[in-house]
Amino acid sequence: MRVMLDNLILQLDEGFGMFLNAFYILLFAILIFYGQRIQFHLSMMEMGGILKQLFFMASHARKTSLDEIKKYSDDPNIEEKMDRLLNSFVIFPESMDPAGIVKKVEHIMNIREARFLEDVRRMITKEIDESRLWNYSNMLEATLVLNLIYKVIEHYYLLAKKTKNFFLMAQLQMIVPLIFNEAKSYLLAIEAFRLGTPIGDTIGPYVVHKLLNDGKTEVIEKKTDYAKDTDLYIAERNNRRIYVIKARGPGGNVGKPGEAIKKVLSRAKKGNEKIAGIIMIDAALKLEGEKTGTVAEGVGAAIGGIGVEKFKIEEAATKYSVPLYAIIIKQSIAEAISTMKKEIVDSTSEVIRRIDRILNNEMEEGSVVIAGIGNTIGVP
Amino acid sequence: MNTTLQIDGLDMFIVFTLAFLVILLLLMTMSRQEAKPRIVKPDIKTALICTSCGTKTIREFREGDYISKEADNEKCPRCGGPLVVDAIYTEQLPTKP
Repeated sequence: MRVMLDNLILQLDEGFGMFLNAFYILLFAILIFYGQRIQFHLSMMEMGGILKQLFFMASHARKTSLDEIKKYSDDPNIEEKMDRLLNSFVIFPESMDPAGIVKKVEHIMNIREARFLEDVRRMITKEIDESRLWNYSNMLEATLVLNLIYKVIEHYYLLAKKTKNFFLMAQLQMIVPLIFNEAKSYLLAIEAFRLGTPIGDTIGPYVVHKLLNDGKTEVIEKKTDYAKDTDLYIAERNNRRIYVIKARGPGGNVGKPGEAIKKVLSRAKKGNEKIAGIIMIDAALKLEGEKTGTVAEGVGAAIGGIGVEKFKIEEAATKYSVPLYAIIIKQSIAEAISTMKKEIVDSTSEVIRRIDRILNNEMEEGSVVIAGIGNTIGVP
Repeated sequence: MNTTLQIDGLDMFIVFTLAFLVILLLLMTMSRQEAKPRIVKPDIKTALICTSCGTKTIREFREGDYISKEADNEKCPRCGGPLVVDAIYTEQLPTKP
């Protein structure tokens, strides 16, 4: 009986062993011929999931913006107007002949900014203050970006699916985690713009606002709208004349600091006034290993954006031979566009200390221009 | 006979491990597909400073607060002086929106 049972087990084992061998060979053949296709389908499943999340984010952003604007609007066509705005675009000028491209870009961007704000204004039917209108314009811009991210990712996903292009799907899979993080940042930005709180990028205007109000600066004159949506403060600090430039707040606005700096330098030249230097304070993107709120100094025009204002500042500084000093406050992209973190607020005193050190020890005799660069939301 | 049984045991182990890995991979991909991002509202604070004695107080952010705004109906807890908004900030960003 025992011998019979052993023989039976042996027969079963041999049969199972043969089955396993056949299975391995089949699996090997499947992986050789269909491995890439299996991987393609797995990638597609993953991308489909991320696309769903991006769609959720874009829809949430649209709903939040719509609900917020409805508080100030009885317009029955508000959804149609908002969708038209969220699908608007900008066509950049031709750059085959790059001479004069900056003026062309500036012209197009000025039209775009003015039209966007007017479109937001047209959506509002009730009384609203200008600051809130600016904030809503910023909020809709962030919604537009989220919508655009979703549409672009969806485009490449569908294209890869349609053409069964594994390499297109693989490229998408590689780049999507970075884009997804950016999308999450914009979702946080919408909340900050809705509430009108200062964001990380506001640190430049916040520092100069503190500088003007810390009791050591005597403001002589304030020139509202010295350049478009930009204010100029003429003041005295440490027995030195300072020209402080910042965007007009507390609505979300970046102003035209380049235009304002150019105007100050030009007028100083005409009045034979010596400008000893320009100090620019701005938020800057940190590297992954760097701490939020770290302050660093350097030279050059510390200003982001499309490049028009930076070009103007560099051109004016070169023309009048004025040194450019930069103080930056480091932060991530998410921190730069969402409500200001405490670490960034805490860096203010350090930045002011450095401004004073430059004013007292490192500059020749003469007036100094101090520009707080960035979105001035929540800071008047 | 014993040797055959040992080899089969190893084979079974490999088959089960492979099956487990494939199921795990599918579950991971599907769970990522189903997950919806959580929308976490940031905890925003407003720091107020007394213009008379310089005492700082912190409270929750209220809509309409902006830097240098005089706080309505709020007085300094120490001297009763007027309060202005000194800073608006969040302690930490929501990590998983």
